[in-house]
Amino acid sequence: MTTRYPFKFLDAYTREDREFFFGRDEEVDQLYKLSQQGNIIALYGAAGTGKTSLIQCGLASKFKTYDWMPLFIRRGKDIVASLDMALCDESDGAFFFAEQEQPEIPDLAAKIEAVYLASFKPLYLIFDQFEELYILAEKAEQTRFIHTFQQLLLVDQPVKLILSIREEYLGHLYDFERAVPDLLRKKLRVEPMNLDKVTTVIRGVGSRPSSNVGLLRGEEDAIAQGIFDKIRGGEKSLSIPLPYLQVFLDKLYLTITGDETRQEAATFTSAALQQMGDIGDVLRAFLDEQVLLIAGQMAQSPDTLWSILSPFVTLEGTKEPLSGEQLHKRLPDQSSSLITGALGAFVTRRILRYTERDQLYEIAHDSLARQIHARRSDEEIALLEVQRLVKGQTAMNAEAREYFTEKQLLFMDPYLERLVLGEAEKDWVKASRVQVQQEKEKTQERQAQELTETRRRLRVVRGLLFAALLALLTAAYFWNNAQQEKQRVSSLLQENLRKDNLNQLEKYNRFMAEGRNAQSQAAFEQAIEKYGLAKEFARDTQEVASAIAACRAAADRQKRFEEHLTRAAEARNQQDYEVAVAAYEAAAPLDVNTLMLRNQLADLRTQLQEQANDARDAAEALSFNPIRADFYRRTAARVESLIRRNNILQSQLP
Amino acid sequence: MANDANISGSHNIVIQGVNDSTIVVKIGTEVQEIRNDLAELKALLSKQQASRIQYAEKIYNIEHITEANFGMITSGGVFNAVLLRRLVNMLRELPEIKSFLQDSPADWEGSPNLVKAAQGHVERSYNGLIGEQLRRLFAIGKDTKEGIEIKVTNYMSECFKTYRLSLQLMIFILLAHLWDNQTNGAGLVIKNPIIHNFFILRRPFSLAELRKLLIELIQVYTENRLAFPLTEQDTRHLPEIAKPDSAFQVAGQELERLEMLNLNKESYGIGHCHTAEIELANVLVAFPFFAKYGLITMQKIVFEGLRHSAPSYIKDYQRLGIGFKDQASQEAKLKVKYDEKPAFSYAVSLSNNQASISLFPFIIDYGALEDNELPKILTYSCRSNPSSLCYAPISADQENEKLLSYQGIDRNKTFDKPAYNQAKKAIRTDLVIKQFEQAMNTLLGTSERFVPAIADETDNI
Repeated sequence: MTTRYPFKFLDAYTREDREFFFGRDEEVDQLYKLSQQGNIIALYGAAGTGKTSLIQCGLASKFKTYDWMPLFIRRGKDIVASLDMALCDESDGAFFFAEQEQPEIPDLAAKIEAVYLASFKPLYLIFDQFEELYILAEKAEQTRFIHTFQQLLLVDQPVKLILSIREEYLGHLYDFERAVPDLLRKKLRVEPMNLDKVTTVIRGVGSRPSSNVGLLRGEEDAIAQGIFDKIRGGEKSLSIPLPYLQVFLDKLYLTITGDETRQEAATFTSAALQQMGDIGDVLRAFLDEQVLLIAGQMAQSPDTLWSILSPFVTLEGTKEPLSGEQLHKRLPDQSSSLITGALGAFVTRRILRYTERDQLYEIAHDSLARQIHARRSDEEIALLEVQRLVKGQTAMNAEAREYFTEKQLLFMDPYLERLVLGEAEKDWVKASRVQVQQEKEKTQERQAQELTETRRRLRVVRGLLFAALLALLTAAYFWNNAQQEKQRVSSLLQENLRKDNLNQLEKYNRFMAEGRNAQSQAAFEQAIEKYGLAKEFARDTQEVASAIAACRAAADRQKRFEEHLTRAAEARNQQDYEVAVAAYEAAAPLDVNTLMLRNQLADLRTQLQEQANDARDAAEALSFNPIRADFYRRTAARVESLIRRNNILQSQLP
Repeated sequence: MANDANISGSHNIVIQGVNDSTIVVKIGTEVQEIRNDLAELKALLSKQQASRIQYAEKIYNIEHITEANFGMITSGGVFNAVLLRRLVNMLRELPEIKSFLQDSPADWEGSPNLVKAAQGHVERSYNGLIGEQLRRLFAIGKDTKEGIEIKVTNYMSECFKTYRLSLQLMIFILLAHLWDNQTNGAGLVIKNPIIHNFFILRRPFSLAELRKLLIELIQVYTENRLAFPLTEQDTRHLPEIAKPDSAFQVAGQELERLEMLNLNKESYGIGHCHTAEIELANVLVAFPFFAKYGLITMQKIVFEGLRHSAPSYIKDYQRLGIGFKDQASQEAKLKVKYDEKPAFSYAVSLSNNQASISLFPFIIDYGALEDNELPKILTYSCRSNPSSLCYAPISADQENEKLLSYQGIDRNKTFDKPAYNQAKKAIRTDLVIKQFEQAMNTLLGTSERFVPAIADETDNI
């Protein structure tokens, strides 16, 4: 049986590699399920977690070939143009790609239909490394893509859209998600490789009869654990990046066989693993080694080769695909033959990858890009920043460009000589300088004008201030006069008021005194009248009301007193002393005219005493007539009883 | 085929023309027409004592021509040519195909672009089940990346699947209508063992069994003078296809024979594909109305009731397959409609402007049961155990059959929202099983009950 090398180094696994693709079953199943549940799937994860392999190999293997038509789309020079190009290429000659300034996809629905009719397979548009749209593209390109994406959702043919993106760029999809609300409804995070997955990979690859790599029987788990430990080194993390694993496995194979063609069979053992020693950061070691090797072969300094790699990495440490021509422009100091030779060597050594369709070179993996970025000096980073600044502006339409500011020019100055700028870029820097100078001159002129203007204004202001002061003083004078007048009038008013108040009080007191006086003389009606007058001037009407009420009560008592006394007088006239005494008894509690009552009671007593004496005398005189004598004795006794009541009444009077 | 069988040159026995039923052979100066059949061709050559025959620019050794490669020789090795021609011919009155034929030359089959367009028209004309199968057959035919052996295997497999789905679709239509009739008091006594077995057996029916079941069902309709479902125009011919010597029966038997071929002794070749293609065309031609109906899945119905107002039913439904070209695509596929008429929840219906029939629970949309955006159509396959039914996916993939188990969830209680969300799928699965139970008991006059499954049964087998 023919065997083959099972590792992919920094390349993604494809459907053809499915027999060596291990450790991803769960994620593949999930991804497949998502693809059945929705038309848009977002696959995200850290760099180096194997997103591309998961789609290209894992998902692809879940479909029969006639149910799966994948189109992998990378941004290239413009993502909409790349999509258009991919569709035209697969349209079976129905459409041909034509480059445009601001690419849109004319006849998108017709192109999709043409691609579909060419194969009759459901189309899977896979936007791989989608973060490039947010790292390398302008806003306008992002907007154009969103528009195209929306159109794709409306086509009739079965089209599914898969976005594969680094998780740290998910937040950039905010605008996109607003335009396409279902964008992140079906999403899957690809987890990094943990020990279990690494063990599955190592065991799986080692057990395949078609693999030229085997594991020493009985040592499978120990080998997996050893590989995992060596890659994570001192960092006791729970996972390792997939590219590190792939590069390490390749290195282990080469250590065992030394066969660069990777044809020979190798058996991984714990001993072989131990012989590798501590390799530190696998990718850094790999890069250093390869750059040194190529430098040796080309008789160049390693720094020269690093400088050739550097333009392929963005300032963020991600890949930036470049054509050979673009690279030559970025490295004007290097000879064309050196650059061409180095590019070839980097491709051979699998550090760079070349895509025929786009005619672009790019770093084989973002993990390598980060390593290259990490080697850059501050000066190199500054140089790149300047370069990005210049190219960023000149890449825009002339109408949209902005001149560099003085601060930016000052920052750029030390580096401009070391950059190879195109004529347009040079012109823009020059124009910016002129613009800055003109701005400066304009500023100075404006400042001078402003100074003159300020002086003039100052004069005006002074004049105005003087006038204002004068007006203020005049106003103060008149105000003072007015205040004095106001105060005088106020005092007058207050005095009048006070007087008025005093007058009122006086009247009040007077009427009240007259009222009380009348009341004391039992002239109650007069008293009430007086109190009524006092009420007109009263501050506190309650007092007046109380006085009137008291007066009315006294009048009432007076009236009833007089009635009782009248009744008593009439009874006495008729010598009905029983009734007279009862009337006096009713008058006494009214406490009206005690003196009068006392006098009348004294009169009555005398009268009663006489009456009693007369009765007793009559009784003695009529002793011969017992019946008459007894009548006079009982009359005397009744009158004496009335005398006792009279006495009691008198004694109770105050 | 052996290398010496297709050398270029000239010979005195020449195939001059081939069509679906005949081969025109020129022997010297004499021209003969024979049936398009390998045995007859071999007999002719034997009579002429000839061992080689020429077709187009190639000369074939007759000993190396087998059933496996005969079709490739006589059809020029093209997949789907016969199928496409037959279907275009059958559907020629449909507006889209009529227009295509009017705008194309008579020999449109000679133009790859027109063939592509015709395939697209045919696929779009069919409902989601058969249309999807035709897509696969066309896709396999076009595939340039796979080797011929894999293409042949795939093509045969999809031909059988298309045949199976055609039978199932027809059976489900007849069963669903029969169920409605019984519920409305038809009072049929169905004793046919094969109909009983369909509901009871714990293995999927073979193709032959499905065909027999279809014939039996047609006979139940005719014997009981029941009107066939859908419109009379669409289904009045069904008694004809039930006749033992009908083209449908012959084609079905041939496909069943091919499926049962002992692949340890003989492997599928392109000739088998050709035969399968012709027979599949015969099967599909027997059911022309498949192309007149859409398959609609009722994904969601929301009741909207307001005081003193007539209630509305907000129907969220989707047409399966690719939309008709003359309609705005999304409009044709995804719809939401306010309707005062109620409808069956989760129904998967064969429907057009004139007639409609719900095929639930024989065909279900598992995606709707799971509240997914996309439909996932499953067809009833067989019983699994006293609690479960087996459903087969029609989707593209290598998925296992689904086992739907009855859980016996009490729907009368009030659920906490999280508990409901957790139980929702099981409640809906219970609906499928209960509907199946009801259909079975109504049709067979039985009173069997599914019993709740034990908790750890999975939904995949």
